[in-house]
Amino acid sequence: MTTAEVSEAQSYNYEVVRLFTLATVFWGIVGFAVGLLIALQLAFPDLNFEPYLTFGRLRPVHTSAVIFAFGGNALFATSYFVVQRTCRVRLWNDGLAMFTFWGYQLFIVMAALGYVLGVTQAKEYAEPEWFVDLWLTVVWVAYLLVFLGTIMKRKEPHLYVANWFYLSFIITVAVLHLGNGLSIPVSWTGAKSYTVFSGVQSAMIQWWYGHNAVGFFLTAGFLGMMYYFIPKRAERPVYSYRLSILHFWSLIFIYIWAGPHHLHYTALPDWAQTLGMTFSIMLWMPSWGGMINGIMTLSGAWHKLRQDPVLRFMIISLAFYGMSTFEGPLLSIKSVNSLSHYTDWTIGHVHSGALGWNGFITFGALYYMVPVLWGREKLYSMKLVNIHLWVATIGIVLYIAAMWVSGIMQGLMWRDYNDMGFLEYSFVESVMAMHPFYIIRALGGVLYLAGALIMVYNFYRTIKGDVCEKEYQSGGELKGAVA
Amino acid sequence: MMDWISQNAGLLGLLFFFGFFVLMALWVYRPGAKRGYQEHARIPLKESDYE
Repeated sequence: MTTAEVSEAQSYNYEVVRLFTLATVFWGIVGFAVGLLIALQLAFPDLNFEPYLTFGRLRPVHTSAVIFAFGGNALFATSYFVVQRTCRVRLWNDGLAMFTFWGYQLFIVMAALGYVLGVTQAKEYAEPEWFVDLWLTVVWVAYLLVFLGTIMKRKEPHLYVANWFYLSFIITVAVLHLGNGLSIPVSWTGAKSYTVFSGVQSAMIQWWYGHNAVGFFLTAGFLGMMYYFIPKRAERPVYSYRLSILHFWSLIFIYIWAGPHHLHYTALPDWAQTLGMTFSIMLWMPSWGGMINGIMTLSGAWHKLRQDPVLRFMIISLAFYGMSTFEGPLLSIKSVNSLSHYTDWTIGHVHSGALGWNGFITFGALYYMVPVLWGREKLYSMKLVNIHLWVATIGIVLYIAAMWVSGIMQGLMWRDYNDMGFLEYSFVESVMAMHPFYIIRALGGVLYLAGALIMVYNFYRTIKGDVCEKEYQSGGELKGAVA
Repeated sequence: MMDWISQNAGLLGLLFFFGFFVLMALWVYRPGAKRGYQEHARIPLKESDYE
């Protein structure tokens, strides 16, 4: 490094990125652990402890913890990291950036406490009550200002594509949150409020929000990570920058229309259902365009996959992204949906995206960032990264395979009629048939959580400044000791 | 005028979004632009050799 580089690197605001990184890891463990607990509650109902620790109250704790606490902090951490480095300026306004950190953690704690205590709007992925929603709005505006302020004083003339994805995520989530959160409090001093929409309009607004939480929170934002960390780690430019621009516009144009596929065969007008289905199928193209762009970045350098488990995390995340963005359009087709809707197949689909794509690209980005942020030359152990990778991958495979089988079985049992025209199975019979698959699913969760704990240990040793001498001696300077 | 716009909002929306997309695609793939985009793609990599 030249002196100018050193001074530039020192001038970045890494303090807030470090805090968000630690929060990502912390909430990740919390979210995965609660997920495991509720998976066990489904298999063994005796594990429900009334009234606070029942499945109904803990499920939103799990979904919010993994999406908004783990995923959200990861998006804050990486977006602040990427925007500084690709704009080559320090993050705008240290005070406001720090406010976004503490403000966002306060939002998470308020939301989670509310769920456990029964304070909820009961809107999926938007459960917090009106006062928590208002607080999040303040924090989110601050986030937008910090991000825009940094972009506006950038030294790099071109705004790198990862920042486009991050910016579209920040803006669209703001619009979704404001639209879906519109509600009228019963009183200024009470927690309860009612949404301003009713009936099928309410349902449509909810799933316009819900599906775009997937599209912009869990996809556009994480694609920002993908477009920075994969080229950075592979030390190669992205396969096609032109394709990345095409990917960006087509993805954000199409995603916003796909929500109605959550309301097939409901009171929603038929044309709106068909519209949602059509746009969901069209989404397949930009999704796979992006996946191919990411994976082909390694074109001509595939050997790096063998040497570097961190890169392997990122590429496997894209494989899961490709798989779940193929499965999504399939499930949105009305005739398939008539079998899959309300079954565990949907749960399996969500988790192949969440555990495989969001989880793995985040782990990859964290494994890249932690040594950089704490000024360490390398991670404590590459072997442990590799163990994390395989333990977590087996966990995901157990999870989604169990849910495919149980989901399709559930759908078939529910629609099965006998010769007399009566339902062949009672609902409880379908529940009993799920039991073995719920245990397999929980086992998948154990493995995924165990992998994340291995990561925590690796980070603890890395941040402490330790290096696993034995491993690096035998492996020479290879990035991955496990070939 | 406003009536006509509201009655044909679906068609107008389709033309606007599809037109935007087609023009954007043509613009991105215009001849001679490849070099510039290849430079942009190097932004994450060149930060370490920034003087």
